[in-house]
Amino acid sequence: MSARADDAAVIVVGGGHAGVEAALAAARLGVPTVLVTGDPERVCTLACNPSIGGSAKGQLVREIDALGGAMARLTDRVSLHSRFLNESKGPSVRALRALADKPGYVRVAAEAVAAQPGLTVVRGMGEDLIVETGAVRGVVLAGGGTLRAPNVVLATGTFLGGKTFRGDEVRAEGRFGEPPAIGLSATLARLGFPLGRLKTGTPPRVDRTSLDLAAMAVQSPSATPLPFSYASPRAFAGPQLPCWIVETNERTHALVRENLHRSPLYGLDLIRGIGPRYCPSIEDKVVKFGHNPTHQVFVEPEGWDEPTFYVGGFSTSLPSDVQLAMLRTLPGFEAVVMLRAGYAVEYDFVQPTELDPSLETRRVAGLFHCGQLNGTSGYEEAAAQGLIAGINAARRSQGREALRLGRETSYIGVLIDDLVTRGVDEPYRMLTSRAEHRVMLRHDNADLRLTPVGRDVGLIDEDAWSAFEQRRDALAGGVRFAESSRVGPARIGRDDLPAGATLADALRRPDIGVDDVRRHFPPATDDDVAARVEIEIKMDGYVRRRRTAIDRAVRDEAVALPSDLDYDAVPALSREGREKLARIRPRTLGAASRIPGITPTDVALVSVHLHRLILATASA
Amino acid sequence: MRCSGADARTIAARVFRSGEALRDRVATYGEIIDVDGAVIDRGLALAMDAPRTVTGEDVVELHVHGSPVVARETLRALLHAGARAAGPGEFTRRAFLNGKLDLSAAEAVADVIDAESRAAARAAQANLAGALRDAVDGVRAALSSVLEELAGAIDYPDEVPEPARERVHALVGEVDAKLDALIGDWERGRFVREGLSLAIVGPPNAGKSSLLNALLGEERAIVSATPGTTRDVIEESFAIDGVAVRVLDTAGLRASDDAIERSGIERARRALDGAAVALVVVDGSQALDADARAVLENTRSRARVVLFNKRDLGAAGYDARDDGERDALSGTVFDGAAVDAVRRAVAAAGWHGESLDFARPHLASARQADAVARAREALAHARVTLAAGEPVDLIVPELFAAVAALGEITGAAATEAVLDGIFSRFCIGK
Repeated sequence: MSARADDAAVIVVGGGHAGVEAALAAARLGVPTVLVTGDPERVCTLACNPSIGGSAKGQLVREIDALGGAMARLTDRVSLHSRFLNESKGPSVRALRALADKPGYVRVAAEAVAAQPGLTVVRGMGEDLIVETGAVRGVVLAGGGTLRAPNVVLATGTFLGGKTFRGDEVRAEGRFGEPPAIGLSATLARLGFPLGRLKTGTPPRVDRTSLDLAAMAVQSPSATPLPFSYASPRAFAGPQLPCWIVETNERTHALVRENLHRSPLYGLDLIRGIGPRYCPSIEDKVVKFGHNPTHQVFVEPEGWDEPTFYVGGFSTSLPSDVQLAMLRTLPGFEAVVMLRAGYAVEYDFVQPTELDPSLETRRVAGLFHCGQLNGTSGYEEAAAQGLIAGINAARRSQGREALRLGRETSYIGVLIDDLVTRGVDEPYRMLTSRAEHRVMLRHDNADLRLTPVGRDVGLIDEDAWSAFEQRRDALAGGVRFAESSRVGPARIGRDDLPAGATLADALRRPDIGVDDVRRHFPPATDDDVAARVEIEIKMDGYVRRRRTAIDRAVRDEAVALPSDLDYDAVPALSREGREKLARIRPRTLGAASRIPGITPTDVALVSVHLHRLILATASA
Repeated sequence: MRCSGADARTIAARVFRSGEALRDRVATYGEIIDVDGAVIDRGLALAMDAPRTVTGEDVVELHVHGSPVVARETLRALLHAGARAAGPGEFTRRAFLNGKLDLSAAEAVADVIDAESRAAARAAQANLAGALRDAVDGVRAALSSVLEELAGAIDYPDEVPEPARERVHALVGEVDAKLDALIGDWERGRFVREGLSLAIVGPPNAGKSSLLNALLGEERAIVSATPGTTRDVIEESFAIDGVAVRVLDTAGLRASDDAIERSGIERARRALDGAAVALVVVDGSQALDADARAVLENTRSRARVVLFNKRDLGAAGYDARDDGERDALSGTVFDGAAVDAVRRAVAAAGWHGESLDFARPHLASARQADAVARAREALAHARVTLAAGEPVDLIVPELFAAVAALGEITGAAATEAVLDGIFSRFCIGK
């Protein structure tokens, strides 16, 4: 069953990780939706590495799942290497990372799109937007077709004004071998959106059979690999594979240095876009960290049956012949066959300070931006934004209020708030350091934080909701049991516990884990529940300690700043503060305080001015 | 009188009349006129164009004669011409907001404005030179550095090694000790900023007014002889080792003897209530009367200095003093050495005579002290958490909180600083 393309309420342009989450969410909320993509057989392409999740990004995937999004379930169906990171560093930074079978991921995503009622796929490229009296009305396709709808989600990835670089070879492409979107860039510029250029890159892919894996260090998946989704079965469909790690050496670095004059970034000076500091090319590593004798290279399978391995940490835009020579300096790579050379890609992005936290642009009503178009990098960051943009495009068409997630609720909330209040000056990647309330934003409790929200939104069906209620109640019951069961020091086998100590008292000790006291729980207690009981109890004091800061932040967040607030009228406000506040127009006092360059004094001045305004209005 | 802001010249032109136009940084002689064009005074106007001014904005200064009437009329004319009276510390704040000073420097300027004594000015100058910023930044950078390692190890587990806990623990301890010293200086420095309040009490004719004059010195006595402001009437201040000592209820001391008799002991008691130190003056030349004994008895339990005055006339009262007054001074207020002895005794009673190292940077406001206190609270939590063997995810937030609190003093944002540190120190990224 499909909606007809000409009575859509939401059009999503772009079939990557952001676009597919947006399209699936909007259609599932009962809104006729059209997904415009260049190649419907290749939606959700893992264009760079095969990895999904990791520190902070893994939390994003869990949150997408808890809200009712697709990424976690898609990944679990094709996970070939699952590893739980940071296990010893504490519950709030534990994160799941998986490698996906790349063709498998595209296949399951395409199946999900095809099976989604209310979602029509149109093969094509967005070329122009139809905008009437400040509101979007539809999309003009390359080749002349027109689709009309009052809500448009742009999820164009690296395709806007895309250019790829390999040595002196420069091509107009959004990805290797795929044409860029030129018209839309011009449209956005014409509408007044400030466009910038960013750069990213990808490493070479090599023939797995040409490698001597015995010469490399093995990195095994977790002994008991976990799925991302709360709904996925514990057992994976296919086998779990190892990865390998090798190190670069002086010969590798010498080749980089000798060929820098052929680099589009260094010698040729062709690239203007700003690249991510956390994902440097091998050229960057050698130039900026010349004192490091070696750099790690991660050798990862791209699929169960794929001939290619991904050479992580080796992103480069040097010419192909140099890339091959560099690869051959690595241990086990002596006879390597390079199947595809690495390249850099440069693309347009729109400053996300143009957006409301709903991801709707302030300039054009009904137009939503998500993913790399907003200056982010990463599949997870893109999918998270796509989900929110899709939800809000659907809600707008239904006349409902937008969903906005606060920084205290989720990494998704942190991501969107950072984007819309601070803007980006390099590709944005999620990191635990960005989340001030990270003790709350954990892998384990994503469902407690967000599934009730997803239920209200309408993305959590009956089955998922009742499964959540069971988990939630079992967890609450387990915590109650632990708090009320007096086991005493003797039964725990720890005489440093006070007499009458409860199971919870024992679990509060850093050196006592749930496995040490497992036998005191009812035999029917589920392993997952027991593990979560331990985390809830151990974290409780720290979460309560954060509560004050969160309450203060939430209070500042509740102070709305009028969208027409005249910052020129705020006495003594700095020029910089005045200019930034007038340009960014933060929605709340809390958002204002997070804008770089806005000082506590500025915030105080704005707050005082606002109080005066309110008093003046009240007495008028 | 200083006008600051984009319209400073426009407004000044409405109240200052001269044959020549105002030039940047050149004083011009002319007439100050009111709204009707009547001459209020003759004086100088000095225009200074942005941004090289104290506030970073256009500034016009009007130099007029010191009469309160002239000053008031000039102010009225300026307000009529479109100016707005500055709030407390507004020039400083504008200087800060215009990027002329960083946060700590701006607060140091506020200190200069408020400082009544030489020592406060010296300490404030140390801060102006960035000493406070350097001191706090050094501590913040040390914390930030270890935080970069911890946060880097969390976000890049395959690439950044986790720092040894012992090293983290040791560093947190060192940082805490430095912050403790800053807070200690702040608490001692309260006298520098706020001065010490002193009540001079004693029976009539014991020599209180003479002692006050002696402590104030010739100059201040002349100033206060022509009271022009309210403060001069009720409060005098002098300096001991650069610390401002404010004398409470000088109105009572300066009133006629009749007035003193009328208000009597009651007035002295009220002054005593608000004072940090009591300076008790009695006539030591003769046997103590009931009033003298009462005031000595009433002040025994508090910080005080006792002077048995009028030594030149005899020492009968001093010689017969109680054990409670064993350490009392004896002398005459007309003897410089005796007055010096009083000064030293007040210093000992007020701040235990501790010499304050004013060259060291000190926290310049309660807000800064609060930020340091919050940083220390977070570090205390971090130490407990470290000692308990808790995982690093519980230590990182505390260190972030400490770095953020210290950043409030220097104006550096914690998250960005730590991320910059991670990416510049560690080569990471697959």
